[in-house]
Amino acid sequence: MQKAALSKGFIYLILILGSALMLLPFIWMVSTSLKSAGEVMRMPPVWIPSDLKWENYAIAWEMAPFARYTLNSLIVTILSTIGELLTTILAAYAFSRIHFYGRDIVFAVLLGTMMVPGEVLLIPNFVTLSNLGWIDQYEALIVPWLASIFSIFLLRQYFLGIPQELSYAAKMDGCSNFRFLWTIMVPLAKPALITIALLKAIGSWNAFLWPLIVTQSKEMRTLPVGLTSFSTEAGTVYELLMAASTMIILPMIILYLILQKYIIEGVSKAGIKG
Amino acid sequence: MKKLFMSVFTLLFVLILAACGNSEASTNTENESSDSENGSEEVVIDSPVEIEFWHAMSGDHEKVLTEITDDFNGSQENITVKLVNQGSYDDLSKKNMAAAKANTLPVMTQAYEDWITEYLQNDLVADITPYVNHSEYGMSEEELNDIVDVFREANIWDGKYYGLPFNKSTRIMFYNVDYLEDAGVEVPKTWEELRAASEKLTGEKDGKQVVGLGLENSVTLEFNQWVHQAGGEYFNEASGEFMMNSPEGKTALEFVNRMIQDGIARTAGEDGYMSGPFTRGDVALYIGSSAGIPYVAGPAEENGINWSAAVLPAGEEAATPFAGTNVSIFASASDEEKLAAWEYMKFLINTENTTKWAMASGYLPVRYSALESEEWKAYTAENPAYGVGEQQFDAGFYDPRIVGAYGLKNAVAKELDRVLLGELTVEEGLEAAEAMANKELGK
Repeated sequence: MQKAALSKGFIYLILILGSALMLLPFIWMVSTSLKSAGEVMRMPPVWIPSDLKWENYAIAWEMAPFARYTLNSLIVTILSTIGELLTTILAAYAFSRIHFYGRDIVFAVLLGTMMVPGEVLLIPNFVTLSNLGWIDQYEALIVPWLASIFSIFLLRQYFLGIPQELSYAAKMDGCSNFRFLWTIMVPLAKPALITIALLKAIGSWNAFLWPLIVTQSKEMRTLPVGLTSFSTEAGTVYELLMAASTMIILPMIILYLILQKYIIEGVSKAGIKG
Repeated sequence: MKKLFMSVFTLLFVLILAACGNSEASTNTENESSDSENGSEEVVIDSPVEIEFWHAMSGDHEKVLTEITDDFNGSQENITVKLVNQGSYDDLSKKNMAAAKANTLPVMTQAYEDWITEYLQNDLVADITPYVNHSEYGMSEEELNDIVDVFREANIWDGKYYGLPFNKSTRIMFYNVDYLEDAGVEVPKTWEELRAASEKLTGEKDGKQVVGLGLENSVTLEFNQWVHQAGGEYFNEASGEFMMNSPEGKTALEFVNRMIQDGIARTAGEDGYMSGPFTRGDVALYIGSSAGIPYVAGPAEENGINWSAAVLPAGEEAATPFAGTNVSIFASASDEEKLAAWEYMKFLINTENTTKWAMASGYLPVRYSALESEEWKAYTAENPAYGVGEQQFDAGFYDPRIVGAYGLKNAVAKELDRVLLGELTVEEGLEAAEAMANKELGK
């Protein structure tokens, strides 16, 4: 008993140290967002600002049309997450449960495209969108991100882990592929789907280069683009940048806290639920 | 699984082959603008024209630019200039390239000289000489010569203008007034004095370790300053040769390296910019961009640091690099749009506006008449640091205007960094730098 308590205490100590280490940048961010310009660069770092400058938040919010950026970020993040979930579910099912000619070749081609770095695609994608007349429209911010090979791969592996017997039984009862997918597979794969959705939402929320390239007007830009307002070639106004960053990161942290139990399930379980 | 891997590999192989075959075909074709804009047809703007100006000015800089642009839009009937912020210079450059491929270039852009060289090679940028010399809406000889020489010349290729200077900065030496007074050190004017002062100013001060001279992390990226001061040349634009591997280059590198090895000079380190350590009182002298003045002024005041600025110390000769961008017009614009852009450019850098811009942004005015104005004089009397730049115009030079200048400087900087880190000797470093430079230049 004694021994068990000791080892438990030790494990907790390690975990606390680890989490403190992970949290340090966040703590620095929040603390810097409340500093004065002179305190930002002080060495050793100031953890508790001598007087809390809450006005940094107001000044930062005024530096760019952040309200509009927030709206755009929400629209883009929500729509591209839902869209990606739909395409991923359909594709993963086809690649894991339906046998058709050339399936593995098609899948291999898709995996092959993951090797192409995003930077290489930037200009061709821009040209395509430009020809479609989508530059500076929501379409440009959303449509190119409606499918992710990585997510399809992840979900396909998860679907493969679901026993075949389930689909045999469903087929016996005269269940169509489509109905089987939505009523049995999707609920079983909930942890994996939530993981995919969260990764997507975070990626979309934090995307910077793409939204910057495909938008022209201030009305169409997203939050990360707004963060460039605090940097010039000669330096960065850290206290304002951190105030803006703190505001921007909050929604994602809240989302994560709500969904974290599913994420841990999605990562740690192979996905068999009775 | 095995089958899967095999097919992935086959696919990749095919893709690579396809990619190699295609690289030849990517030449720039679409360029429909004629080169015959020598004013044969009289262009007049008698209906509304809206033109876009892509820039990379953010924060307060963007506010002032917007003010000046609103003034322009309100000053006449037909032309409306729409400002589009495209992020950082790097992002702007990417975006221009993407837009060029998609034929959706704006009418105007901010551009560094080496970008203009690249645009020139691809026939993307408009020759504005006909506008400059136009009898009606051009610039008089006097007006043209009023633009600071070093800025004006940087926009001339083969005798033709491809841009006008807009936001220009220079490098200056910041110094901690109290530290110098306490140590009885005069502001250094030569390399010898700089070294002597750095030695004297290094040491314990109010319980902290002060280093004499602070250099930006990018010191090796901007080493042309030291090479020119040593009487040498960093790069010869005409012959396309990297010139730093020379006795003068060696003198320059040895001088900076010795100060760093002796612990009387340091780079900014993790902060990225020296303005942080300088305003904490960690260094006594600091050589950096004049664009950094606002980042020094605020924190210094708060931390009670009494500071000022002076011209760069001279080596064999005085030499000061000038940096910053110009405004150029893309060739894809229509004649009306080009004329509209020209009108805007003239307005943007007229005496009044270049003064206003400089006072609000910390960049330099680009006209001599602006330097003479009462406003500017009063302003620099109030803020002496802003007056340092203009004292160095005669010693000014600009970066090599070659395609990929940034890549070249980066490749060289990597090798020079190894010298400063003590991995290579000065000679080895220069050899390596030359080899990397030639590789970068495709030699």
